[in-house]
Amino acid sequence: MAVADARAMHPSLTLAEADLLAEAALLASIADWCRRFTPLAAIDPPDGVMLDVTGASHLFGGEAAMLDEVERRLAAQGFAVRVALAPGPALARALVRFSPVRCAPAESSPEDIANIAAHLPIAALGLAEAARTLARAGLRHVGDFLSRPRAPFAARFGPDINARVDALLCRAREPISPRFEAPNYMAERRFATGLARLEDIEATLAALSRELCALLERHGVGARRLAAAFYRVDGAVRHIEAGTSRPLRDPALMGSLLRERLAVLDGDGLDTGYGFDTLRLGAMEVERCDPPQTTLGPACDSSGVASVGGEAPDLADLIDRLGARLGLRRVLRLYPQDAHIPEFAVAALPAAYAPTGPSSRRSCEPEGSRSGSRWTASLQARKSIGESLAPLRPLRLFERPEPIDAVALTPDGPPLRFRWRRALHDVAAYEGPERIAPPWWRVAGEARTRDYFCAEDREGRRFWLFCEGLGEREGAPPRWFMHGLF
Amino acid sequence: MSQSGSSEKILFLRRAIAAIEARGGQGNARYGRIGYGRLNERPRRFGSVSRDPFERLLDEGAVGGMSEIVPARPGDEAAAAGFAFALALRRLSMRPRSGVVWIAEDMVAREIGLPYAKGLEAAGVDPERLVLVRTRRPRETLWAMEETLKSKAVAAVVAETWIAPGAYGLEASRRLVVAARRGAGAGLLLLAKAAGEAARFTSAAPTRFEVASSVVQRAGADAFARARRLPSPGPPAWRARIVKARAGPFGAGADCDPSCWRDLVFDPDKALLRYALPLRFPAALGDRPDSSPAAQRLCGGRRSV
Repeated sequence: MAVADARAMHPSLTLAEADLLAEAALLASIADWCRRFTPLAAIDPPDGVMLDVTGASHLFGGEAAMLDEVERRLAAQGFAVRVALAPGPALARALVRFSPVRCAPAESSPEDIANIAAHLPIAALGLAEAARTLARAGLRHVGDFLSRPRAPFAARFGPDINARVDALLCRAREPISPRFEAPNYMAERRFATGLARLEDIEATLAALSRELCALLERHGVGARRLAAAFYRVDGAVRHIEAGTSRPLRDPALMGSLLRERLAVLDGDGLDTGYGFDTLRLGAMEVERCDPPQTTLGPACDSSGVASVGGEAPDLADLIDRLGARLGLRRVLRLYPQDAHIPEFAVAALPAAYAPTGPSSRRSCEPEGSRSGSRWTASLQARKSIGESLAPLRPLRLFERPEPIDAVALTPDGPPLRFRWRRALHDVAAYEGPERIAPPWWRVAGEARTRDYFCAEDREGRRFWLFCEGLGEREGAPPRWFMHGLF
Repeated sequence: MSQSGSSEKILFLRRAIAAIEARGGQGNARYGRIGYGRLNERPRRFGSVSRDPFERLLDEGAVGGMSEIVPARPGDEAAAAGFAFALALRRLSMRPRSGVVWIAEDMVAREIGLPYAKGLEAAGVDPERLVLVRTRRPRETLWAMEETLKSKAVAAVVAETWIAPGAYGLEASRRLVVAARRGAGAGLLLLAKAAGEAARFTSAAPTRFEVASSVVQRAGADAFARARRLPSPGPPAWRARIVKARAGPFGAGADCDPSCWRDLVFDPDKALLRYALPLRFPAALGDRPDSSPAAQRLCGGRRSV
């Protein structure tokens, strides 16, 4: 109906622009909320939510009781809601929109399903074009379709129509695509009334960690990524996640990691409001984690969990704890790279996701053996070329070189005086140049040759400067930059 | 050296010879020609007592404890960070299996950059033993330092913060001191913003160093001046003084003179600090021994400066 017609019928009609984004967000939050019933919840656009409740309905007292529960809780939140349950998603989708039947039980026989489906209108197949043509031919219900041979339909409307019918009759398996993957291992607590005190929530999380760890232990795995979900009684859902640097199966450590995440949230996040009535803790990613071999010698692993990641366990725990509060991207380890340009010679990668090479299995080796270190080669190189008294590289490097004004006697000579951050420095001693050229296989003109100098000013401060560009040869006039401090 | 007499000296000499041999007979050319003051040749064991209060403090910090490091002037932050690194390295050499956690605040990274792994490596530490933590605010820095100090796996924590000295007070420092006592590592807190205010704020930390970049008196500077050439810089050097030292288990304190500045040189090979005497110039680049294997074969490995 056009707006003008509607206005003519009801002059007091209020019009509002459809906000599709807000609707999608609301639908997503409803789907998240529905994950309290089952971990597999998918959005069924434009206005539906699809839950895979296989194996979950008995927790709510059977299928009919579960449907009632979903309907009651959503209605309590103010939604006009229709629910239906069927052995397949297509049938459920059709029942909820076109049929008074609410529940086709999982154990229904194919005949029962065909009976239920027969009363659905053709539109339930979801093929608008075909539905119009079929209606003109006098076929109004799916039953009319079922009682006739299928081949002519496929010839007329394409093979899609038969696939739709099979899906509707639950003969073909049709998966749903859930919004979040279901955790492989999870533990859950439900409460009659909401938990509002943070202490209670933490205690519950500790209990859940114990449950989850027992589960993980039985399967011989440890968690690499944990996710906790909090379902508030008024429908809001909060998620927290914590990553670990090695497979974790220690309830105390798990609890402390989650506490750190909660503490960070506290400023703006975990608003307990009326309280949370369902708490769920899942291990989203797991890795094999065998119990450690105990030896008679000095133990190299004091906790009960093997350190597959290879760190000393205390250090790995520390990395996890710092990462949980500060963010995993802020706890870094440094790795050498095959590059001569100084800023690319080292990569800082999150310590939690760091590659575990042979070098990281050193915790049990005799001390002093550096055989595995990634840095060994260059450590030895330093010994052989290190006749210079000044260190070759600065202790501090700026994230990006800062432009400075420098005066040099000759175009390729050392700086005599330079101005950095508005302060003038006179060079009293220097060493260099050390020429670092950009890789020749790169496009010329993008990167330019650098001449590095280590310069000491009259007050004894040391700087690592470079002059970019070799005068006329590379086009633009040379520019000076400050790159590091000693 | 110490009271234990000649056997320790002989042990030291043996080690020195072994070190020379390990370098392919090049000799101690690297440091042999430079005058140094008293040698503090290796980290002491727990319990042995050195006579110099400064050394004693360095050692005392090494068995766990909390020190503050304050730059003497604005612009000396990098020198103070270098000194903190030297102390951390010293502690690391005592506990070869543990790691160092370096906490760098974003503001400090903007001012003096981030620790550079190639430089750390050049100074003699395996960067694999380092964990770099980047924080946004001083509060996070202090929290991360406290957590790290409690851990048993860390030899030293270096935290660089841009906290105002007024905001960093007794309470914050007391927490760190208590955490350091519980854990095994040494805490080194670099207060980069407090340049020049080392004597002007209070905290609960037992030790506070003030560090400046060092102007080493070079012998023969006039020769270079006559030749109109600039010399090359020597090994890393700092000037440091103890602003505050609470009487520890070794009874430091009374004989530490806060007005006494000490020139220190860092020796990365042995991971220790030495007193610097006026330096002679290192040989100019062209005069240094060629360390390529071919050249060594040519000279029978005996050529030295």
